[in-house]
Amino acid sequence: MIEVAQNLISELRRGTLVLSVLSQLQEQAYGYSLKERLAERGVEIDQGTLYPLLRRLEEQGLLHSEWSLTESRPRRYYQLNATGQTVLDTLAQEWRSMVAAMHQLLQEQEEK
Amino acid sequence: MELINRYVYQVGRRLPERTRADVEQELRSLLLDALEERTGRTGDFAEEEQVAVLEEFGSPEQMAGKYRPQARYVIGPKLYDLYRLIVTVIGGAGLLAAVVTTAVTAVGPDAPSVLNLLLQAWTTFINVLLSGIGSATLIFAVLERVIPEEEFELDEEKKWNPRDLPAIEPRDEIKRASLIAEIVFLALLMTALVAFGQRIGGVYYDGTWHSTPSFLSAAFFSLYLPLFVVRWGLTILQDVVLLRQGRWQLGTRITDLLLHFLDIYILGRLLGGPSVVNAEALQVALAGAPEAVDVLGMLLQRGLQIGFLVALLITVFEVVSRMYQFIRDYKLWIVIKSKQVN
Repeated sequence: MIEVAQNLISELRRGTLVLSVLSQLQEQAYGYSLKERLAERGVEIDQGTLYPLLRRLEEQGLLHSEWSLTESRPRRYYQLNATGQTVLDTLAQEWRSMVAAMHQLLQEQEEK
Repeated sequence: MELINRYVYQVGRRLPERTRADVEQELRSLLLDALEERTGRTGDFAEEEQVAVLEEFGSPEQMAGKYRPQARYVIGPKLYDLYRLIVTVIGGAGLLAAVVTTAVTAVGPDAPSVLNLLLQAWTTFINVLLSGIGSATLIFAVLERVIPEEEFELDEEKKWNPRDLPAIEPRDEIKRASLIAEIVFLALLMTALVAFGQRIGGVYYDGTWHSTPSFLSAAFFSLYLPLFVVRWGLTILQDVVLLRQGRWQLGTRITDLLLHFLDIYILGRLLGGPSVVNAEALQVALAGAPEAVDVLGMLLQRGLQIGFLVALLITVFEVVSRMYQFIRDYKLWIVIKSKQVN
């Protein structure tokens, strides 16, 4: 039973990954700094999931990336582009309405 | 840093060439970020520290699977490695079928011409390859949609141990200078034999200078030279592909194996067929010592046959060792092992 719940929680979290990542990329960030930024805000993402996800979001045209050669080692920095910003706004709006709806559903269930 | 290098290499070799170098560079940078964060140092990382970070990243198969573009695949990353292995085995079976059927036809009473034999070998190979790969693709595409994803993930997570990462094998690297030298050499050799082969003879003096007929027999030009031209032409083609790809890959390894099977066929023909030496040229060259013609001719023929036999044995050994490498590289042992367990 606990395993089933864990799987469902993982699935629930997976669904929020893209929104979490996009929300933190209004400023430039490289992979590890983004992971840390998300962790500080309570969102833990596996590195093996986060880094390929950044590539996919870039391929989908939501992010812009460039190599920085000014640090101790080359780092690839990612940032939202205009399309990414529009998608983030849409997703955020959808998220808020989903949260409101879920809140309503759960409250009704608790009151029974 | 050895484990980090191995990990990056293992991920990279599973990615399309278009993105490989870029992903490898980024992955290495991210792994070093994680190591620095964990250890508080900028280098000299212990093996245990590398293991801990690599375990967080997940197995190379999983990581590469996530980096591969998803939408275009009929067969997803979870099944891809096994699919590639099966396709390699089918390729080997196709080659074997082509060689065996061609060899049987070649030694039969109604042996067709060399060109027809090559055509038959090629047709057999393509038939086996197409029907085999077609069936395998269909089965894997169905499995991809039938087996739940969790079934794969659980197994992989249990198996993954960074200490088991195979060493980076320099066999995958190419030597550009050698390949270019080989292309130039073979192109010159082919041109020389095709254009001037008939003139490769000796000169002798009996008051005036004369040249002998070509030392190479008529059989050399009609039977063997076309085979050499095909073999060397394919080698040049393969070298060009390697120069473009930058390293050995599955496809080039299969073609290389195919070329070695062709070598076995050519060497078999050389061993069992007519001599490459033109006896007439020897008679002319040694006109002053006719008793030496037979002895020298026999020695030359025996020497060549021994040379061909040694080359044949070396090539067979090469083919066996390359097939063993295939089995090792593409984890055929897992299939064998799982059969033993079952």
